[in-house]
Amino acid sequence: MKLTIKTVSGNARLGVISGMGRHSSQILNTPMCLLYTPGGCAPYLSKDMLQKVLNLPQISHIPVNAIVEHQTSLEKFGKGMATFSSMEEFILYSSVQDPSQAVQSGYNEKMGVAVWTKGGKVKLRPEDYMQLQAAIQPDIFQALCDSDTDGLSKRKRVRKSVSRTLEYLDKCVELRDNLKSLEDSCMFGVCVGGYEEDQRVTSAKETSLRPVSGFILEGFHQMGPEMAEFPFTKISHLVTATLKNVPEDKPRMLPGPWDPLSIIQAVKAGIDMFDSTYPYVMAEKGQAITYVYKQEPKELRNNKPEDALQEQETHATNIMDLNEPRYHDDFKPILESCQCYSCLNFTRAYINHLLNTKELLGQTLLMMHNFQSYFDFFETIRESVAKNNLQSLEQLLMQHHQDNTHFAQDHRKS
Amino acid sequence: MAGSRALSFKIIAECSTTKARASHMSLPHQVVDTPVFMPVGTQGTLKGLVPEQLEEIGCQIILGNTYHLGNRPGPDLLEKANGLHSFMNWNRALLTDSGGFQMVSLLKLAQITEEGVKFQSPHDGTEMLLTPERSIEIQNSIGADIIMQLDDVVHSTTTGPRVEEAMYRSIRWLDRCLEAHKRSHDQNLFPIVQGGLNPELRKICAIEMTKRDVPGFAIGGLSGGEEKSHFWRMVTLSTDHLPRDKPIYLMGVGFAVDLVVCVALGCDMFDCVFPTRTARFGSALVPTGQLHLKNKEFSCDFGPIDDTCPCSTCKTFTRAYMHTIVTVQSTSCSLLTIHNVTYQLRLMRSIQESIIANRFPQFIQKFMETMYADRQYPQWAVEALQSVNVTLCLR
Repeated sequence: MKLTIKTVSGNARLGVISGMGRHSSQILNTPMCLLYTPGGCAPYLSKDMLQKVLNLPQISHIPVNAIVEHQTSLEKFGKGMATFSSMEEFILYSSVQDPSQAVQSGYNEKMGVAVWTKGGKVKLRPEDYMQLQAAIQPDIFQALCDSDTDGLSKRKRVRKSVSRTLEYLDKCVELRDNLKSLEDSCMFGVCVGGYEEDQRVTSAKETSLRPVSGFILEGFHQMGPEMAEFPFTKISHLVTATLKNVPEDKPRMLPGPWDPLSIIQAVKAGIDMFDSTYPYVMAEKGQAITYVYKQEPKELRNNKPEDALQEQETHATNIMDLNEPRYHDDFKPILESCQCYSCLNFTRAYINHLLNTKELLGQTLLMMHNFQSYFDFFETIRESVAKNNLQSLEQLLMQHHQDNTHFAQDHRKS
Repeated sequence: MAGSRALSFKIIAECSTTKARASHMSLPHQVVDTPVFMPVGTQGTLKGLVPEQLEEIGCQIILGNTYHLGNRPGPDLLEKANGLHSFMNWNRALLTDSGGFQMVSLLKLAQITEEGVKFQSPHDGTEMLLTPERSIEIQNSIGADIIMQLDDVVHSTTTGPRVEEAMYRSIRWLDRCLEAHKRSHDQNLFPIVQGGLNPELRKICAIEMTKRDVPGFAIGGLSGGEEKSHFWRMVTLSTDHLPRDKPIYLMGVGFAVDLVVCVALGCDMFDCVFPTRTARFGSALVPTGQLHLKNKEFSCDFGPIDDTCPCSTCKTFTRAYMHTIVTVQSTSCSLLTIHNVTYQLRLMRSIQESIIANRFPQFIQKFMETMYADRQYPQWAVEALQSVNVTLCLR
C-alpha cells in the first residue's frame, strides 16, 4: 500500500492510496470513510438498495466479532470473506471491535482480547486472531490491540494497554509471515495510550518502528452510540501528540461514530480515514443527518419561500429526530435539497409512522439517507482540503449547532 | 361480467378437470393476474422492502390491515396524505381487511354486539366501537382498490348457535357496509361468506350474499386451526354456491399446498402473513418445504437457497452466508422476505401458466411429488383433489 500526499492544508492532507494487493488498480482519495458492513452487509440494505447510494466508499468494513463463530465455514469456503459475502468488488478491511457497539470494559487480559459475538464472549489470543484473519483474507486489517481505555482509566491500566498492544503487534507481525493467505494483506498498527499524553507518544513511536502500513488511533472511548455526541476537541491534543510521532507517508485512521464537525476537526489534525458507524447509530435512533455542507444554499426543489425558511431551521439543528410527533403529518422529505433515494421517494410523515410502529423500513430509509449524507460530506471535505478552506467549512457547521447544547460549547472550546 | 366499474374480471382460461381458472382482474391501480397471492404489508410496509423492490419481483397487489392502520397513523392522517397508496408510495393495487378479525384476535376485551365490535382502545383504555359504518369509513380513507365488509367472525372451531348468529349478522352488516360505502366508483367492497363449518349455514350465507350487487366475494372464518378435512369441504361448498363470473378470495390461506389445492377448488385470491413472518425467523420457502437457515446443517452449504429461484437473494448469496446473518444482521430480514415473496409469486405464476395451458392436474402432480418426496401426501389434500377429479399417483 502506498499513500501519496497531494496537498497539505495545515496538518490536513489530501491523499491518494494505491497499490492495495488484490485491488492494485484501484485508488482511494483521502480523507475518506469506510462502508460499514457488519457481517458482510450494509445494515438494513440489500445489495440492490445499497447500489442506490451514491459515492459509495470502496472499502467494506467488517468487524471480526460477527465472523468469529463462523470461522470453520469460512475456512471450508476458502475464498475469503469478501467473496463469501458477495462483496468482491470492495476492498476489505477487518477490525477487532465494532465501533457501533460500546465495548464491554474490563475483559481484556494479557493473554488476549475479548470480542462479543451473538453467542457471547470470545477470547482471542494473537494466534487465534491471525488464524481468523487468514480465513477472512482481508486487504487491510487491524493488528490485535488492547484499546479498552477511556477518560476514566487509571494510568496503570493505560500503561498496560500500551505494552500489551505492542506485544500483540509483534506477535501478529511474526505470525503473519507464516500465513500465506495474508501475503497481500496490509496490517495497520494501533496507537493507544488513553488520556496519558506521554503514553500516547510512546505508543506512537514504538508502533512506527514495526512494519505496519498505517496507524489506527484508539483507546479514547468505549465507542458505541454514546460516542455520537462525544466531541473531538476532548482528545485533539492526544491525537496531535500521536500524529507528531508517526510517519507522514502512511494513512491514519480514527474509528468511531464521529459527527461531521468532529470529522472536520480530526482531518485538520491530520487524520485520513474514518468509518461510517455514525450514520448507522443515528439511523438506529431514528435520527437523520441534516448538516449543511455547502456554503451556498442548495437549490430547493420547489423554491417556495416558506420551505426555504423551514430548510434553514432544519439545518440549524443538524439532526432531525423523526420520532418526534411534529413529523406525524409533515409530508415533506427529510431534506428538500437531498437527492438520496429516501428523500426522493418518501416523506417525514411516513418515516415517523414506520418508526412509531417499529417497522424495519424506518431504519432502512434512514440508513440510506444517512449514508448518502455522510458520503457526500466526505466529498465536500476533500474539496475543502484541496481548496484550503477547511476552516470556513468548520465555521459553517459550528454556526448551526444549537447554542444551548454542551456539545456545541465543547466544540467551540477548540 | 361483474357489475362495478371499479373491477372487471376477465376469465382467460378454465381448467377442464378441476374448478380452477386463470383471469385478468382489472382494478383501479393495477391489472392483477389470478390466481394471485397477496403478501401482507400490515402497517403500510412489507418487512423492510420498498415498493420498487416489490414491483421488481412482480408483486401486483398487497394487503394492509385496517385495525393497525386505523390506529397508526390513523384515518385522518391517511386522508391528509391522499390515501395509503400515496403515503407509502405504492402505485399498484391494495386490499384492506375490515379490522374486525384482528380486533377479536388481538384484543382481550373485544365484545361483539349488533351495533358493532366494542373494545378498549389499546392506547388509553377508553371504550370504543367499531361499527360496519366506521370500518367502511376508515377503509374509504385508506383508499384501497378492494375493501372488506365488517363481518361477525367466529373462531373456526366454535360450534352451536353462535355460528348461526354470526352468519346472519354478517349478512346484516354487509348491507350496512354497502349503505355506508362512499366510493364504489373506485373501491370494491367484498362480502365475506361465513357459517363456520356448518354446510347448511355456509350455503345460506353464500346464496344470500350473492343477491347483493357486489364485484367479488371472500370466504372467511376458515384457516383458523380447524381440521383440514372440514376446511376443504367448506371451501369447495362455498365456491359451488358463489357466482363463477366474479373473483373469489379465500382469506388467510398461504401455505403452498393449501394454495394449490384451493385453486383447484375454485379460489382466485389468497393472503397470508406466513411467508413474510417466517422470513423474520430465518426460514426460507423452497419447493420441498422450508429451510431453517439458522440450523448448523447450512453452515458449509455453499449453494443458493433455491437454485431455480431468480430472486436477487438466491443469485447473490449462499445458504452458508445466509446462515451467518439470519436473526443476527438486520439485512437478512429483507433478503429473506424478497426470496419468500418471490417463491409465493412464482408458485402462483406457475399455477396460472399451467391452467392456461390446460395442464393444471399435471402441475399438481409434479408439485406434490416435489413437496412430498416420500409420497406421504396429506389425506385431506388427496380427498380434496379427488373431489375435483385429480387422483394423485403414488409412483
